[in-house]
Amino acid sequence: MNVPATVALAPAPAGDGAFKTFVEHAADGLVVIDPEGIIRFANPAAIALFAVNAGELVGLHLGVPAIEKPTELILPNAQRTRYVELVATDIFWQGREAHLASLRDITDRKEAADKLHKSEELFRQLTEGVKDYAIISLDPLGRVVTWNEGARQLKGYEKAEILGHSMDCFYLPEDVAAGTPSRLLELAASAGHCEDEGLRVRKDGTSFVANVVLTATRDAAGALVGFAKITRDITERRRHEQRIQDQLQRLQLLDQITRSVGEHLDLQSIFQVIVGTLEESLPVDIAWICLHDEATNALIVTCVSARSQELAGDLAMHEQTQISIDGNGLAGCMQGQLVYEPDLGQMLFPLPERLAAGGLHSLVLAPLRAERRVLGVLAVARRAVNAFSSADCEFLRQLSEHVALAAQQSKLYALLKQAYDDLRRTQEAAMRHERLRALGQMASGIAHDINNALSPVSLYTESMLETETNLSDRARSYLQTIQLAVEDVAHTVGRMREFYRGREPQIELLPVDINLMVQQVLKLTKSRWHDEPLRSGGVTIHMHTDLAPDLPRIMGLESELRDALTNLIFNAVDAMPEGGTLTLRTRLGNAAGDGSVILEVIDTGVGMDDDTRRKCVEPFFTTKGERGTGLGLAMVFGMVQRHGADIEFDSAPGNGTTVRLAFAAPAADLAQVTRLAKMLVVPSGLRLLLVDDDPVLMNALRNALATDLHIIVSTTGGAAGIAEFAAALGRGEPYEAVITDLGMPHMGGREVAAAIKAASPDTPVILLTGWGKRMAAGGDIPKHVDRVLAKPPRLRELRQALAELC
Amino acid sequence: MTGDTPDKKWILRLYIAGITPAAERALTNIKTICALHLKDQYSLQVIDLLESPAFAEGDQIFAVPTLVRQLPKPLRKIIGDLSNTEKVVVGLDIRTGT
Repeated sequence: MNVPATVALAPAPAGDGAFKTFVEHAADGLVVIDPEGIIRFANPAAIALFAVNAGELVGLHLGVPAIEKPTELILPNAQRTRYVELVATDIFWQGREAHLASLRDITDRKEAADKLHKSEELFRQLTEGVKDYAIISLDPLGRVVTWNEGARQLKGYEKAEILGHSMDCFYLPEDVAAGTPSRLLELAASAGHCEDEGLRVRKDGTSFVANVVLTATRDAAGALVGFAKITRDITERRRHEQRIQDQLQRLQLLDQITRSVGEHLDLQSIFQVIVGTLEESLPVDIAWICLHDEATNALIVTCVSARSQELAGDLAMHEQTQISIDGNGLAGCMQGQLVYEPDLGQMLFPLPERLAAGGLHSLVLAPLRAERRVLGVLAVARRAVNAFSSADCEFLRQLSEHVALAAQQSKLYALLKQAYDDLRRTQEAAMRHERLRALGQMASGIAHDINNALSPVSLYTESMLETETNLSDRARSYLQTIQLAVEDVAHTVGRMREFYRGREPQIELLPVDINLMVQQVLKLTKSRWHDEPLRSGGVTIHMHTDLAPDLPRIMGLESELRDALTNLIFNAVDAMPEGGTLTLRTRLGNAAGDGSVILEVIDTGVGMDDDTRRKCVEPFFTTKGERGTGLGLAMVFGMVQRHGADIEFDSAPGNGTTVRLAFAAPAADLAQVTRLAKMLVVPSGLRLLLVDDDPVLMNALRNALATDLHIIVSTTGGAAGIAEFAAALGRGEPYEAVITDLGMPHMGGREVAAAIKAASPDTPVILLTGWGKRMAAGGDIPKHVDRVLAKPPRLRELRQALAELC
Repeated sequence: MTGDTPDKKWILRLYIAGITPAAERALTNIKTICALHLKDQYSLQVIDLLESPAFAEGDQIFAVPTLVRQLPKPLRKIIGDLSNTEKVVVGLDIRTGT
């Protein structure tokens, strides 16, 4: 079947050079096929198409074309499969019938179309099956061109009924009226794409929240061909987001509340913060907190939110209202369960009925539970029915735990604070007591030494004045001055001791009419509070008395009371350098009448700060500088203690001072005890033994007593005294009395007294002591002593003691 | 397709490369022609070169679709979608064969 190659590349039919050139250069492949299907001629383009050597194509058995219209052929080819469009024409070729086949290479076009087709197919497959997204394409005017399964499910339209319709039908009428759909198309067209979230409408009229991405599609030339529109139903996502948002908000609220709670320490303000914040921010229409009252087993409304006070009043739910637990079915709540009543109108208990009548329909009661005990209930209500979500309830449950904890902490804090305050007060009292004791001891020690030192001065002075009849008037005057001075010193030393010593048992307390005493003191001190201020500075002090009539008399020492009141008046006057009002008030202790009688000294003066008030009764503490001894209030304090009374100071700087003395009144007003003054008979000629370790004092004493013609033997030291007493007893010349010092080295006055009494029980022993009467107060009267005399001893006292004892 | 059985007088092969529109038309056309002119006297094999590229060598196929008349001899080829029935009939020399 091979055809000689010589026929190939035959000269052009017309021998026309131009035609040959045309054929040679034609872009399409041209071949001439004989009736047997053998190629008789091929141009270069055809050779290229078949990818054979130039000589090989002619003679190839290709086949006879049998087509009516241009037909696509595939030329399988080692390098690249060619697609050609075949057009066949019957011709005469070298004198016989033949076929001219024109082969146009359409490979590139074909491949491009294929690719496009494939990608379109892929796109179709991808989108059509997608159910979760509505993927549609729109023409440039927004009319639906394609419609996938997702679009059908999401929007409810069948493909057939929606194609060609405007996308306006997916929007709410008001959005269409506002031009939203066309605005989105414009935006996508100009920016390439746009995204939008909002409500969209389904075919059945229901709506959903959609996220829409609209993308403009353009052809190769950049002309707008339409839009791709992807729509997602994000209703669920929005719901989740909302839920998360709500949760976050509640967390913030919880945080806010717990922070505020942390800033407050007292329960009431903690509760106020909580109900206030709930009302504002949760929000609720009313919030209140009830605490459980164990005595009545009821809930007491403790705190109502600020804005709701009026509503609470209308509901009879104001603070302090009692709510029955059992009567309202609240037992569950009191066992720690959160109670949610979505519709109070359906409930038959009184409290829900009352709330419902007041327009509140949903109620949540969250127990405040701390350490397994329900302290109370946090309650919130809203007007709407079923207005609390489970998240709200959960939030309230959490909050109630915080509240309960805060309440518990606050209680503990209050208890702790109380304990601290008590401890501080006790400590202060103990410290004051200790300080006073130490100062008292010091004062007593000083007093002791001064008294000892004064003794000879006093005795000699007294003795000389009495015995030396030939003294010049001048000497007598000097001696009298000395005597006065000694008495002053003794008096001062005595006052110094006053605040510390107790009451001597041998001094009898007598009924005192306190009103009478006040009036006496007023008279005695008038110059100090009336005349002096007026004269020195033109200052007026108004004296005001407010004396309760028929006060019971109190048991006391009038002189001490008088001194004390005098001191208080002086202090009050000093506190009012600019003048003011001084009030003396007496009254019964309290309405119930606990039997106490109160004496108040009230001034309108400068007042005291805390520090001054704490220290004012301490000895030597003074605010008066050089003018004050610091002993006035100390003495008053001593008096108060000896009378078993109480003293209180109410004062603040600039607000005056009230000193309040409270005396216990006797059960029955005792009859006034009258004491007869004894006629003093001066004893003389007694045999007296003096025992002391201080020769100066001993000589003074001896000389003083000698004026009364006593036989006096003095011994230095206790042991010598006892020996002398025993010796005298042995000689049959017993002493009729022994006067001994208390404090002596080696053997003190107590031992001396004991030894004397052992030898001769009837011999009186008089003890001299620089400690004065203090030792008696301490229950310190030695057993064998008949009389204690304070130093410096007075001749008068010694005489009286001897007269009474011998 | 009908098997390549020796008792048939006409044995035809249609070479294609994938189910292209032209290939589909060619198949439809040859079936119609054969049914009309050859009845039970032929067998038609369709050879898809995408599946069996080696066949192209044996019958010297340079373009598809190509219909090859294997029998009766001599071997004849027709290219295109075979829509020009007359040319197919002439090309296969069916008239002379009957």
